Amino acid sequence: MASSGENKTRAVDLTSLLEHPKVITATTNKTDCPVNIYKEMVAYGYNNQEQVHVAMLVVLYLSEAKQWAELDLQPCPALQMVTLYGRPTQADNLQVLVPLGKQADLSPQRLRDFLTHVSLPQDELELEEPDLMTRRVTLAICDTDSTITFYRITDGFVPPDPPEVVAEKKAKKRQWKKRKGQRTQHQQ
Amino acid sequence: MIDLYLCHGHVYVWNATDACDLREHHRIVGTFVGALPRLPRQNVRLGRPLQLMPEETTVLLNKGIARLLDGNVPPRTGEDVSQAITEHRQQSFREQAEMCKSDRKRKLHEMASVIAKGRAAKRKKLAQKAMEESSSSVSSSDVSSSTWDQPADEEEPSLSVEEMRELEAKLEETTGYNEQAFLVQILTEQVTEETQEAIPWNYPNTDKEALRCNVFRDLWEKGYFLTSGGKFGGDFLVYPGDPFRYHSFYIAVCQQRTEKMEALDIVRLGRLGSNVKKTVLLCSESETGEINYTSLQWTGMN
Repeated sequence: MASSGENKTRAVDLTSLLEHPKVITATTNKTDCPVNIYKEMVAYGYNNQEQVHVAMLVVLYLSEAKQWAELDLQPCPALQMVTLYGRPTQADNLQVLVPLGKQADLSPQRLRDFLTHVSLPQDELELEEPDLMTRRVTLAICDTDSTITFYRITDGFVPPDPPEVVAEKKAKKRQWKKRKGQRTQHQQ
Repeated sequence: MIDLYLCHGHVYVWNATDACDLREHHRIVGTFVGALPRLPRQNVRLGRPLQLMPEETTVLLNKGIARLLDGNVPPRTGEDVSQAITEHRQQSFREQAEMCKSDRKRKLHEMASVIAKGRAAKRKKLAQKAMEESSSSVSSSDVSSSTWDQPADEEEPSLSVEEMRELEAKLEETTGYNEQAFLVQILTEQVTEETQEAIPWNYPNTDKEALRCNVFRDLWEKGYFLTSGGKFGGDFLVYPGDPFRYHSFYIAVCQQRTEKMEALDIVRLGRLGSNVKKTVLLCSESETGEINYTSLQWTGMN
């Protein structure tokens, strides 16, 4: 079981990692100045070290490993949590992400709170109806070994893909795997 | 009014028309749990009674579509009952005998041309034989004389009206009344002329049961077909149409609004849903009593 002492050690280690020059210049949408994302999150003052830690891991994962085109922070005062928004490629829609640790406190009510209080950034809202609250959120669940799993929650009924779409996706995946296999072969 | 029977804690529908009616007009599916009399040693296809979920029963009773009767009432016994049963059976035997006769008659008419051909061929054979034996004396007793007038090869042989009547009369004589050969009907539904009083339905009893009932009712009112979700680890399976024609879209999981969940629960439910190509529907009741639905899907990122 993690004690508060252990948590402190982890935070210190993380900070030293975060002072690495590459991390300091991680992408932000708004400014070109290098920003220390970790420090920014702490500056929100939510006093929620666990959640900030998890959020940092998600940011690193999406910006460095998955190379998302856009990724930004968004404080959520109603929930006292750090949330993220971004899009994998320029062509995709904007997504809102809520980083959650494995130990996070959840309940059906909490999930509905995410849906009602986690809002899209202001400029995006102008394009849609002004009174439309966010109805779709991606949960980024982080395990103790820092693996992250993404699940989407949506208000209402979202029917599963019809069989044609499922078959299409399967075919695409097969193609991707084939290309990937060919690529590694060439590299060798 | 559809009759439901409460028997040792389970609710059954025995009437065949009612079972069809429930499915076609009220979107209540239920489960068949009875052995089919002529296909007993299998459970791929079962028959009546139709067993209903407690939630299905609650909805039907509350909407006034059905009434609940005591299924534990033993059948009446006595001399008059025994006589009624015997009379019913005798009537059934008489009807079966009639059906048997008319069936044979029908077959006779179908086979008329074949019989006629057979007879014509036989006559020809006998005639030839007679001619071979003695040219002068023709023993007419062996051969039916009326056939001499018939041009044997040219026309299609057919039975005359007299011949047909003769055969039918023979049939009447030979078709016996053999009780051993008749079918005895054992009724699946116990038919009684007595009026039964409706009995109370004591469900739901706990908060959890109440939540399940409310979620079921809400989804049912939205037009879905619902069955039990045990096979997929949920409370209900939600179908857009008759389960016979569609796969279910959603696995409904009922949760209390403030019930503690782990992040791992999200992953478990999400995994389950994506593996079977269904969306997991988290159902909970808001403070105002309204049912809130949250769809859970895997994003595909990883």
